Amino acid sequence: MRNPTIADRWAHAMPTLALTLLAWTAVQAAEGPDAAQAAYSRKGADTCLGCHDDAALMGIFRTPHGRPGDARGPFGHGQLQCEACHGPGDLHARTKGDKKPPVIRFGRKAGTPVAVQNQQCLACHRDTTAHWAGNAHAANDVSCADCHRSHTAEDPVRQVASQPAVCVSCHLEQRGNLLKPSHHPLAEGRMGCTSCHAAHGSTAQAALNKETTTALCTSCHTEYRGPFLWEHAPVTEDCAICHEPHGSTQPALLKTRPPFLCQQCHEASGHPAATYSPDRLPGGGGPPGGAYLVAGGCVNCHSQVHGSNHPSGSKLMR
Amino acid sequence: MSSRTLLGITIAALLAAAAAQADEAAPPDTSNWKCESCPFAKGYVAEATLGVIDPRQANATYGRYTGLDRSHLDADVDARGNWRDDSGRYAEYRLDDLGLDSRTGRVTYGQDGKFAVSLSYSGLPHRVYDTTVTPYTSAGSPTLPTGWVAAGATAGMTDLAASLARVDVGTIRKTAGLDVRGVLGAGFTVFGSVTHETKRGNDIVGMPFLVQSAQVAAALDYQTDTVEAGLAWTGHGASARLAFSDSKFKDAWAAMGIQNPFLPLVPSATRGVLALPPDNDARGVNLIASSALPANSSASLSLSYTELRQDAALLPSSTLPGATVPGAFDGKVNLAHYAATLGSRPLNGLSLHGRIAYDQRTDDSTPLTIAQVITDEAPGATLTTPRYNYDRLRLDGGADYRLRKWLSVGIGGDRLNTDRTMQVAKRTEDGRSWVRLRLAPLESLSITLKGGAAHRDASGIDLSLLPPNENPLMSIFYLSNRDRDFFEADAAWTPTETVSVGLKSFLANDDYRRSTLGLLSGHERRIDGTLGWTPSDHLSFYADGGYQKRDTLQDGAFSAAAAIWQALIRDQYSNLGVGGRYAVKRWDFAVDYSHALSTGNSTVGTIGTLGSFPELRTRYDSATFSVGYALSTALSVRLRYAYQNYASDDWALDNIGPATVPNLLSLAAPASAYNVNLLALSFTYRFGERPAAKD
Repeated sequence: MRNPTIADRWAHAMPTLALTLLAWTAVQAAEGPDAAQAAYSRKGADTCLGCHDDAALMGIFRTPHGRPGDARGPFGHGQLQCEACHGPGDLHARTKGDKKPPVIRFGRKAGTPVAVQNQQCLACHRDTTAHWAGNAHAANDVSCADCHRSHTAEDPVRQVASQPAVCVSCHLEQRGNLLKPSHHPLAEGRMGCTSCHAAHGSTAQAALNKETTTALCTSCHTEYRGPFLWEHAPVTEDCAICHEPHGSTQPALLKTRPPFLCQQCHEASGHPAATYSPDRLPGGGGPPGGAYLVAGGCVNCHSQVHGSNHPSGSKLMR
Repeated sequence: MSSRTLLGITIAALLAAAAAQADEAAPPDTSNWKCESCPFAKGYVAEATLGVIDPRQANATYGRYTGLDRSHLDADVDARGNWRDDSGRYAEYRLDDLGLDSRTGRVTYGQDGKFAVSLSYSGLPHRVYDTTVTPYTSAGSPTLPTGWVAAGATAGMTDLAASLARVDVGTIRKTAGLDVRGVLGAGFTVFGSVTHETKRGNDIVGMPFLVQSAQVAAALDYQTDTVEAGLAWTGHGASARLAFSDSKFKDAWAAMGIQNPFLPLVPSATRGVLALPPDNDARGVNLIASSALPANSSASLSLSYTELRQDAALLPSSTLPGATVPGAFDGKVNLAHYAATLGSRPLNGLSLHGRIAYDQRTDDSTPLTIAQVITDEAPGATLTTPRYNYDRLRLDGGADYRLRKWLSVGIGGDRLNTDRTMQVAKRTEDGRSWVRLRLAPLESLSITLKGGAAHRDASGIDLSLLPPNENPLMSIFYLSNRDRDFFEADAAWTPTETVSVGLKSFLANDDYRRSTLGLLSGHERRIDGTLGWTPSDHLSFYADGGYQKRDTLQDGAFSAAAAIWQALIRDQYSNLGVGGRYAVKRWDFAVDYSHALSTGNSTVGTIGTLGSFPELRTRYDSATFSVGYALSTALSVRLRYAYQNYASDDWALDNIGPATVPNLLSLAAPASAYNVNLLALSFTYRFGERPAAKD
């Protein structure tokens, strides 16, 4: 008898895996909401609005969810209206007093498990949430309603100016970064976190909107896209090698000030290897060296640090 | 049992599982669901704001990104509105900051569930300096005044003081766009967009002439035109999206000739030419697909391919007589990205997620071998243009399991293998693993603790790829062996319905364990907190703050021996914010205060005799008070006062005049500072009616 190949081993393992998945699914179905007892209301939203008619909830009719002309939306023809998101509500509507069985509710304190909440949203919004399941927000049990307000006319997280405030309510470390001396224009309301990050997940590092950091940065800073005749290796690889995109206390979002940043890679004999001590500042009494330290530091001369298209630009000075 | 039989069983079981997953209760008969009480939006609703803004003592730094960079009255003009009819047709517009360079606008016409067409515009001013000075005239082709006295050092430029004129440094980015989206039915949507973006202004450019340099406010005139089109499909539990894009960048200035203000070291080098960013083109195609799987699982994939092209004509290799163009450059880089993700919650309390991504950069540009002329003056080595390629494989994943209602444990990790060409380390392998505990000792309190370690190993070291004269002991920090340990903790506590508290901290230690020169270690600490109190729907308060500290240590040497000098850099940053809002009847009050302070201390020198640079310091304080009053249901007025103070000490900029450094003719860019009082008064009028609703 021949020895089993890898293909044979896979072929034997896969049925076991598949049957296990089937068993899990059956268990899940058995443990899930009691569909047999759940029933939808008889009149849809007219039933719900008999009680839930406060102004805060009525805001939904000024959102894309409240459009009767959109056949895909919850209020489109033949759709389930309020119960499209909140689930079957007949029993909830017919029960009086404090013993009303809950419908699906949204938010951190809603009582409905986050996975159930999110499933309601994901069932329709697959187009913008393709990578949700493998995303850090999903892994950290973030619910859609932690960020989104579906009953307000303008969802703050979908407005560029108000979006950062929503994101930093969890990403506390970024709140301070907004005010650093060098920053992207988030505090000024001209850019949102989603200008760079895919909050619903992506296949890139740090849920970036583009495949790589460099591809993302050069989608706005197109002048650095290249390819240049003479390239600077880290620029081709990852802008974040030198820059802090969330804000920096150094100019131009740099991690460290030149010449020290540059000297973390360049130590060639001559001026790159020199000691740039404080006595080399103008009037410092040491050997001349101001041109390497003040104004732009190294970029006083190596101004084409992102790449040069000059035939003699190997040192990124032309 | 044969492999084919087993495969058949596999497919049948998976299909059965999928069918079981898809089995749902039959939908109800909704034909009688009229929703007669639903206040669907229709008609015309709009509001317009008109007012004045008076930013006293504003300057470029204060007004970067907003356009409030001059001390004069600006108009505060905003408008927004929408119209809808019963058939779902609608038109919307939103126009903000029309009186400022930062104006934005979007106008959309469409029909619900059918199509939408939008036109948009945005301006983004980024003024940097408004006090910089230069002897050069014409930012497009910087020229020195007639009779300029060149000298070996700035002190000898006798015409300098008389020739200095103010030049602003900064840019404005303007973007106009057209977006179209159409619903085709059967889950298909077609979309497309066209954007036209310009970026114009001045930027600081250093123009070196061997050991001397001049800073120039060089004109910048960029244009980027991008077209994107695609098709998306959404089905039951699955989606796909295919998009094509083409982005063309054009630079109106292919090159810039700049006069040498110094006595040229080579007699004919009275002028240098700078090559500016060349025109380029990026074309790409991207496919994203996702599908629900059995056992509460979902998978997605992303495939993309981008081609970058650039073939701008090259300049002569110098301005020296007889210099020639060394050939033509046909730049072509291919970027590929293939990735898949998987998320699963197969059992109650268990969640799994994983991702695999492969990125490849292939530079197919033809290398050129060119005899270098350093800064248009001195002959240099003959070098071949290096083309940098990489292959990156990234795997990451994690699992969380809820052991108890109040306790979850998670593990995870990632691995990144990068293979490069033309760089000193042919391969780096990054690995990271972590453990996480989530505790919820009270219903109102959750605590997350996460800690782990990471390492990077570099291999395939080829010292022949180091740049000429590079010290072989130098470790390029992103290609070096590194150990990292990290720990983070965060807590969220809502002790009452009206109070919420958040706390987050992070620490990491980096050790470049085998580096002799270069970055040796780094330490980072962060702690941030927030407090919110909302005693009623009308009243709310908040407070937040944070502190960050980062230390790095690096060594250097003049020769291939032990370290000779050292730099210890310590950056600290803290921020604080408090504020509140109160809205009652016709009144609406808001007050906010923000404070941020950064310091940077660099201690540098020969090992054993380190000296300290003056402290880098910035301080930002901002206080805002606004009050709104509803004069009627349609008309409201708002008064806003803002005070903002910014002060900074920067040894690289303070007291650096055009001639302070003998071999640097600088623009005398100052460290940023301002002290602005802003007063704004605006009236907002609302047109149309809102849907009726109970308060």
